[in-house]
Amino acid sequence: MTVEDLLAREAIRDTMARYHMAGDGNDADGYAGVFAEDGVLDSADFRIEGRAAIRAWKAGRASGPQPAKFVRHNLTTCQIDLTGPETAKVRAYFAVFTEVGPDHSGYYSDEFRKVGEAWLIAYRKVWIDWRARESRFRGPLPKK
Amino acid sequence: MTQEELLAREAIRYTMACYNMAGDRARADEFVTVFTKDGILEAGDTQYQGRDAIHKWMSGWGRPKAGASADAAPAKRGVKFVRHNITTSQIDMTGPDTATGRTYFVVFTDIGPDHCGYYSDTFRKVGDRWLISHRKARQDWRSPESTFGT
Repeated sequence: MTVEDLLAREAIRDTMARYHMAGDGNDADGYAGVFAEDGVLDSADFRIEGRAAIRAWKAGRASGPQPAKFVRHNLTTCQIDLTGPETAKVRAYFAVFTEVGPDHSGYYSDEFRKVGEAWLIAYRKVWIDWRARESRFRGPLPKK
Repeated sequence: MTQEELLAREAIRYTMACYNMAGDRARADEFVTVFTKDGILEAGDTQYQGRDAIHKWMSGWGRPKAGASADAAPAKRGVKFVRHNITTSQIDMTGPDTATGRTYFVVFTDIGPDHCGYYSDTFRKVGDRWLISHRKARQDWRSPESTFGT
C-alpha cells in the first residue's frame, strides 16, 4: 500500500460518511453531491441515473412525510479495493436504527471514481438483507 | 503517529474487512489469505491452526447438509445471509512488523441482530500485507432466536 492508495481510501470513506450524514439529514444537495455527474443509484425497487435525478428524488423524499422520527445509517464493515489509479470497488455493510431500534440492514456494492480531488460514487447498488417487523421502511425484500 | 504506522493501520483495517466479507460469503480460498501461513483462529473452545485447518473449517460453512444439527454453522441450516458488522476497533502497533487489535462485531442474520462479541487479534507484516497471526473470537451476547450454536 502506498501513500497515494491511503489518500484514495480515506477520500472514499469520507464520501461514504457524507452520503449517510446528508441522507439521514435530508440534505438533497449534499446527498447528490457524493455521486459522479453520471452516477447511478440502484436497488431492487428503483434505479436513478445522474446526479440531477438523484437530487430531485432525494428532495422529493425530504419534503414528503417522513417514515421515522430519525434515521441513522451505521456504516460498519467496509472493504475497499483500488482497481486503478482513479477507480475502486467497495462492499460495505450498514445497520439502520430508527425509533424502533434496529430497523433494517443490508449492504452496498459500489464503484467509485476519482473526479478532481474527490472520490465519488459512480455506481451504488443497495441491497436490503433484513427488516424488523416494526420497521418504518416498508416494501418487499429483494430476491437473490 | 508516523506515515509508516498509518500505512500499517490501514493495511490492518483492510485485512479485517476482507476477513468478514470472505467469511460471510463462505469463500474459503479468499478467507485463508488474510491469515499468516501459521495463523491461528480460535472460536469458542475450538482452535484451528494454519491455513489448511482454517480452510477446512470455512469450507464446512458453504456446504449445506441435509439434517444438519441444531448447532451447525448457518449455511448448513439454510440461513439466507450472515453479516458480521465490525464497529469499534483499537489497533496498537507493538513493533515494526507486529500489532495487536481489539474489535467489536454485531452479526445480523435472517432474524436481525443475531449475536455480538469481539475479536482479540495479533497481526504480522508479511510482504506488503498485514495478516492475522492469531484471532480469538468471543461471543458476548446471543439472541434467543440465534441461528448460531454456542
